[in-house]
Amino acid sequence: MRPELSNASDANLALAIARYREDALAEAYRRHAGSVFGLARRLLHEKAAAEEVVQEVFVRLWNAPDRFDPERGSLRSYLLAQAHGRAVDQMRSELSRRRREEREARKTAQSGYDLEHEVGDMIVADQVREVLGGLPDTERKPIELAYFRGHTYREVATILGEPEGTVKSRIRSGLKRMHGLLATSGLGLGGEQP
Amino acid sequence: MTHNELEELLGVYALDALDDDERQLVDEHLASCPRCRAELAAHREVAALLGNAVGESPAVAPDELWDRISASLLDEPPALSPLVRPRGRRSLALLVPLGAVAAALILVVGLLAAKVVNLDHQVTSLNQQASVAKILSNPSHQTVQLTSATTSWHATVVLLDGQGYLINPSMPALSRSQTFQLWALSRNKIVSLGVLSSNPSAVAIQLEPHMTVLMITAEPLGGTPVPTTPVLVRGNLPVGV
Repeated sequence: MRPELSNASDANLALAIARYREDALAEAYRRHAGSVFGLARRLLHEKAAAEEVVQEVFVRLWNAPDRFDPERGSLRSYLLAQAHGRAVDQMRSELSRRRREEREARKTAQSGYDLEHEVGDMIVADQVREVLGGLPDTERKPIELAYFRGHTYREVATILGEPEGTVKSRIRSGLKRMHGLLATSGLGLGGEQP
Repeated sequence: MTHNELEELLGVYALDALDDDERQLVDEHLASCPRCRAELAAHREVAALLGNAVGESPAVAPDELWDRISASLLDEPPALSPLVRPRGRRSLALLVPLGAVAAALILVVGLLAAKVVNLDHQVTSLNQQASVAKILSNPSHQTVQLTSATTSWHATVVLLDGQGYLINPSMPALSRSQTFQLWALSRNKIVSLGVLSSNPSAVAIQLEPHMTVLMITAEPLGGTPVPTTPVLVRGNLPVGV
């Protein structure tokens, strides 16, 4: 690898990727693939499926680097958003939906399914957990069901027995509230992550 | 849908929790609304933090996965990714008689059938062939022949409203370490339109109005920022594509 890449900003990395520098893609992978893999694995459970998502996301970054706009957010959040979208697509496909439902049904039967507990387990970053946990239940639950379970907001409305309009405004207000809390807690929102 | 109604959907949009029909409405709105784009960016950052906070810490992707990704880049050079975005629609003169369109359509249908045996990128290919057929069936489409002054190599580009496809290439065989790359002359500068792979067929391309000439060269696998080898075939674009 040419030495300057390891110090390059993510935006410059993206430029180098657009110029067909594979070492720049390798550096982006080194920085962000762990995080992308972690999310995909959490959503899809299966390692092979998660790897496939990571591969798709990085190959897409190579093929269409201009889709990442540094002015709209960090490279990591772009890659995570891509991975989330792909993982959710897979979760919504019929087969995996059935598998997931069976798995969840088993869990419910065995241990009493507790979304709150499960989310507590899976969110490792203390601050984010704290902020998410600090949301009113009416906002937190729909966000969890949508983001971590891959449900559409209409499905979330059915699950929670709330009107669809209520669910979508609560998700929006919850995200806004989290943004405010995370920004004041000093988490570098909008900046690049190392 | 009103602006307020669309705005209400931004949170669920950021969490990929919209159905396709509504997602499309939001997509269209975002293209013209900087305020909503800014709000979405903030939601995306929060979503990313949520995404970043799950799994083991520190999360590590398997080593062999990078090797696989890297290898897939070599096996399959990037599909053509336009470096420019299309401008507004333009009206085009009718250049090709309808008989030729019908003949080209039959050719494309033949290509479609032949493509089915290509198991690798069946779906993509079929979609692309269908797009080619769609362009050819529109009487406003234009064709550009890319030719060589010294050899019989050639390729055809069919165009409609700045979008086009490279079809029917007859090009030299390349080594495994080479790929074709497409270039355009734009305001006296050569810009890359993307890497075509070693066997380009029905590759999608996107053009901008001030592009005047299309060229193809053979380059090292993965492509290069500027051409490093002589032009194999070239063709002039119609004015105002």
